[in-house]
Amino acid sequence: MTGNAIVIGRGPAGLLGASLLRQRGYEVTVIADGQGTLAMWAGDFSFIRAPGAFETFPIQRSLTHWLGAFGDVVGLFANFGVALERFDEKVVARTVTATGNLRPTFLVPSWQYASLEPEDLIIVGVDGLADSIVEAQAANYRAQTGRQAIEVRLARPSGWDESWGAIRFASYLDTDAGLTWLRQELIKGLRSCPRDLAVIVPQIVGLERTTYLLGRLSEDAGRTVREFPLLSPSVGGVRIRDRWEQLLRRDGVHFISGHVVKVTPAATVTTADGRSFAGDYVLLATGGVLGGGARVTVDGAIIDELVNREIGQMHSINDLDRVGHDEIDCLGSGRVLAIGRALGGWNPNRDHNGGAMVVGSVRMALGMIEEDTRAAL
Amino acid sequence: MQRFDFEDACIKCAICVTACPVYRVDQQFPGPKALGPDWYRRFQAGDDEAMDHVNDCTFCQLCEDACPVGVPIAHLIAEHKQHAPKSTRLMLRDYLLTHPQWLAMAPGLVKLPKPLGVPFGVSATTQWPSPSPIKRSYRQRKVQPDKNKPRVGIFVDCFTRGFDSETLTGAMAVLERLGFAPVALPAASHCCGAAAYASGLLGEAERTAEVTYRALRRGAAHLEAIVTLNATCDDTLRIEWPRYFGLELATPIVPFVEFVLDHASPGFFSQLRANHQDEVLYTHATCRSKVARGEGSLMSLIERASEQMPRILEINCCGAAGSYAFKSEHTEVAKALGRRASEVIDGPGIILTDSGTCAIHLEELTGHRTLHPARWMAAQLEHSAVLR
Amino acid sequence: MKVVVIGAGATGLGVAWDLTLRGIEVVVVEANEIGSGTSGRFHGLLHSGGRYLVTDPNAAKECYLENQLLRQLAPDAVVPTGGYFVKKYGDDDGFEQRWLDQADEIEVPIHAADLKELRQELPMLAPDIERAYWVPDGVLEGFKMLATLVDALESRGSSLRDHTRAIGLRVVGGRVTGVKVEGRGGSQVLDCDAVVNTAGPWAGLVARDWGLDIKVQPSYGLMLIFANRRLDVVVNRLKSPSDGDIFVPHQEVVILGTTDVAQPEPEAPEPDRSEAIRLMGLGRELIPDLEHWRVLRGFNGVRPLYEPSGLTGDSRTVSRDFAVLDHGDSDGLAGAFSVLGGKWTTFRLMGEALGDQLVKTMQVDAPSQSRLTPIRGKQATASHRRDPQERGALLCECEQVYEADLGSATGSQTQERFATWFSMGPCQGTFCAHRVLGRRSPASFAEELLALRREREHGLDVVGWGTNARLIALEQASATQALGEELR
Repeated sequence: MTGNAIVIGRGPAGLLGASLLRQRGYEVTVIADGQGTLAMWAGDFSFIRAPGAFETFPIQRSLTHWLGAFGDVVGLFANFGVALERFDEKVVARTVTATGNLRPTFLVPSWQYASLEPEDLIIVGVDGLADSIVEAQAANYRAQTGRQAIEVRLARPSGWDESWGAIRFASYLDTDAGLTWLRQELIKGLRSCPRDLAVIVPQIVGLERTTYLLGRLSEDAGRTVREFPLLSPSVGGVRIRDRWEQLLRRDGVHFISGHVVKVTPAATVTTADGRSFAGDYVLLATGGVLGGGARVTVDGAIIDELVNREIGQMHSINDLDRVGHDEIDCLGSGRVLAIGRALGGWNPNRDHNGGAMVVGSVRMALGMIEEDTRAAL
Repeated sequence: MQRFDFEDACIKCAICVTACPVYRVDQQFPGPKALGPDWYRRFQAGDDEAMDHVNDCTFCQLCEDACPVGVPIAHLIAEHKQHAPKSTRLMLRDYLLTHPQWLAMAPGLVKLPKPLGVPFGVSATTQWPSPSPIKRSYRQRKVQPDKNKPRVGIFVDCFTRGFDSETLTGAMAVLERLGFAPVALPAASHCCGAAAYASGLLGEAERTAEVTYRALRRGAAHLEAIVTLNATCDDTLRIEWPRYFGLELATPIVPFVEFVLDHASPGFFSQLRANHQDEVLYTHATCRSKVARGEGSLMSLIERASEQMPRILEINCCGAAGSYAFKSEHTEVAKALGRRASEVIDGPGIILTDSGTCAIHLEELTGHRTLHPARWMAAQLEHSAVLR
Repeated sequence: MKVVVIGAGATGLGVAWDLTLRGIEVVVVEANEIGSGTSGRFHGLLHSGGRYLVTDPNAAKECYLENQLLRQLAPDAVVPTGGYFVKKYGDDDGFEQRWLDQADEIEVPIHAADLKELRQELPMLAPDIERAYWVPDGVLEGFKMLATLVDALESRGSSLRDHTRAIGLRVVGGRVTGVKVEGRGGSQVLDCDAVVNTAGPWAGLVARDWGLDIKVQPSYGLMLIFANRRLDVVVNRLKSPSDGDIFVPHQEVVILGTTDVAQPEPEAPEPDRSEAIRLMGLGRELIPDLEHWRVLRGFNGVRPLYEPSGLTGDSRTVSRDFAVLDHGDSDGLAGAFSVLGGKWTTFRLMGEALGDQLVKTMQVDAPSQSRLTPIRGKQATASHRRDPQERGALLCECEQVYEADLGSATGSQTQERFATWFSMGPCQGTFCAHRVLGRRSPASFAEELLALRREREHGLDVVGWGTNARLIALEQASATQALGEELR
């Protein structure tokens, strides 16, 4: 038995921290006052090897370190049935968004479309899906890439009603009626299209059996069919969250619902309803401003209320993304470690390095814990 | 009347929608965001037309738990339910079902032929419990507690009172073994008001709560704790009473499972482990227990009390949802919610869950014996087979 | 007889309405779109006059009478919420007494409020309220009123030309015979018998084009929009009019206003965070919990104040009364008029006053009808309760905008916003901007989306605290990470 760890927060950093700690034999308790924010996330990891990019990351490590961390993630996701495809770090792979823009990416679930070079595409629109704006998406894609984008529109399924968002479409596609609808519409729509182009569809292809569905569709269509992600709530994020958390529970990670109000350097945690937890280590994965770990006051002070510390001042709106603790060892005791967005100084919106920072910071924190544990022995 | 906090905080992320079990199985259900904060904002601006299907919400509160910015989504939906029109017969039925303490006091009523209830919207197909009322001697507090031991009160929820006396007996036995003297709380503290709240009868819920509150204030004043057997009542007493009714008890309220974890010695757990029979144990943390405290406590308890890792039923909601499944207009959704339960069980075993209505529902869906952890632990302590 | 009116704000449309009812054909030219000036950046208060009882009794009386009139003439654009003036312990008793005396004198009906009932109705109010009075304040729905006016004008033969800028006059023998305009179709001259300058903060610039010098003294004021309609009545502070002392409920939101800073430019400046912080502090005097209210955005509105002697000073002492100038009389430019100053509540009265002056000068026998004629056009109010299967997908969930609600693609996105309110709710366009714009204008989608994002940001950043800071963070993450836009 290696020890006892508490993870505060149930987003990507929190779950990754919990997974890796559990793998190393720690007793892990995840305390969060929500049910996780993975549903806001498209499902792919970004890590952009712009020249010198990793030198500007606030926690500077070697490339090997980052890539090793990504390797951990690929193995972990395989455990709960999500295949991640990794691109070469020397080039920038891009995924296509719902508005036809290209976004850089690095580690992509097998259901999501990504390519190294922009190519001619068939873009599928679904009537009745609010986020599906195929005409604008295709026009924008053409303008950005100079490539061809053929638009195919699918009629809405019977039984549709106006409350159908992406999650509902995805649930529908897990049924036989849903698969029939999509197959028929897709075959019809692709009939007059060139044979050798990739097909991208909005991310609605099931919650439970996506790989199977995409396989069937690709077979029928005689072309590769992949998804492009939509906005929150993201079906891709939901697929990963549900499977990941199941795996964690099966492996014996305890999930506690509670609003943490205090964390001490001695690694004790107190919740609003008076419960106390003591651990050997606490991973602070509470997110920045978006995640709720940092609160902005009217006069612009930014406060981490769990550790009762002002962690910054907001002078401009772009500061929001830099907000967070300066060091992983945020309280100086070596036992309370900030990971993910709780760690400040980086901006995934500008630098497209969110995935890298999450995996990198978690791996660093775990390294610090292992060293600390060894030193104590 | 309740005042909401953060009802205006919604940032439209729709994470609540991904947490809602009903949204996944009912294709006409608008979902928590539409029924909660979206609707409430219009309502505050004067539009009090209720949306269709609002009553399909089970009030599991997983949406509210999932909300990253603290919108009281489920409670806004409960507010919304008040504005949905209902026929007189259904209103009568709801009035009865939301006073479960009456049914608890006359449990024989469930033996009436089911078709009698059909015109009033009572489901003929949902499994009803068998009466098993708690002993009169307990109710009338004829059993004197040991004066040398610290005293705890057990909050007897309506279901246990009328239909599951064995769980109460088991809980008492365990608490006594832990060195406490369990006392009966006043008979008037019979209902926390959860059933009424879940049906959108907020006034009834408040009235019921006030009666119980006054009784508890008298009867629980000198107790170490009030131990709850049902997670829904636990959440209602601890969170909803102060926040929505302004009722705050001085005595701490603790779920049974956590009370045991806090007070049991390692010796206690070794004895349980030594007596453990080989049956596989499945656990189901009910929706409200996930919301109130999280499923970790039940898991910890089983890990310490048995030789095995508990197998968690990966279902968000079993479909019982208190009185929800007994209403005929909800039978389809209740079935759809529960369908998953039978899919995720891969072998024989017993299921442990801390809710009476969930227990009967799960037992019917899976064919597996389903019990309260208190009853299971008591049986373990006595070496007796629980599969009776 | 034909008249050109410059500026399609409340003043211009009020003038146009009054003239049209007298049988005069009016063409309103608007450089931008209706409501793109002061009238579109309003607090929304339909004054009972209570605010000016002590400091400007003329204005108070006018306001009260127009308030009552407009409730009859335009009931769809006016919400008779009522309001309170609340006096806190420490506020000047002398002022209160003068206020009460004036209310009596001018006959504005007010009555003392029961404090216990007030607490029930408004539990969020500060605990130290000494006394409170009910007043007949109301809420004026600006965009609806403007749209109704345009509709009413057009159904009676007058017209509006937007995106058409007036650039000068054609004057023959000291008399106006036409207005030079520049618009989508190029330049032309509109023949007319008279021209009226109702350009609000830009009135001084229009006058300059005419070779005249009018001392318009704009001042801007900040307003904060709170996400939910947490109060249902107007709440005012009972003391000498100052900053941050009025809360107005408007449809689903509550607007707190305002401040007062003189500036020479007619355009509203970008809102400033330190001013927002100050305004919050002032608002907290009435509602202590204000920091926990979800704020949506802040915006500045520009008051088109006019001081005849051109004195500068604290703009609150410059009269809110309005002025009608006959330039034939004062400047030798016959047929040219200006209407300056004023406020939303008295727009109809300003129209009537101009109309009276104009017909007198032009020697036309046509009395005003606007006091008696309801403001109504031909268009039936669009029913929002369409058959669900016909509505299409739900695009803006905050404000319930469906595919079928999108107007013609030729209108601007601003017009679409004011017609449907998309992107004006709690998500401020985070989820609906691309959904709506992708359908409206697929060909120019990227530019339209960028324009909307920029526009929404103006007001968001200044109130980036609490939950709103989280919305902004979500909006940025959504736009850049989910949709692949560049960080602005």
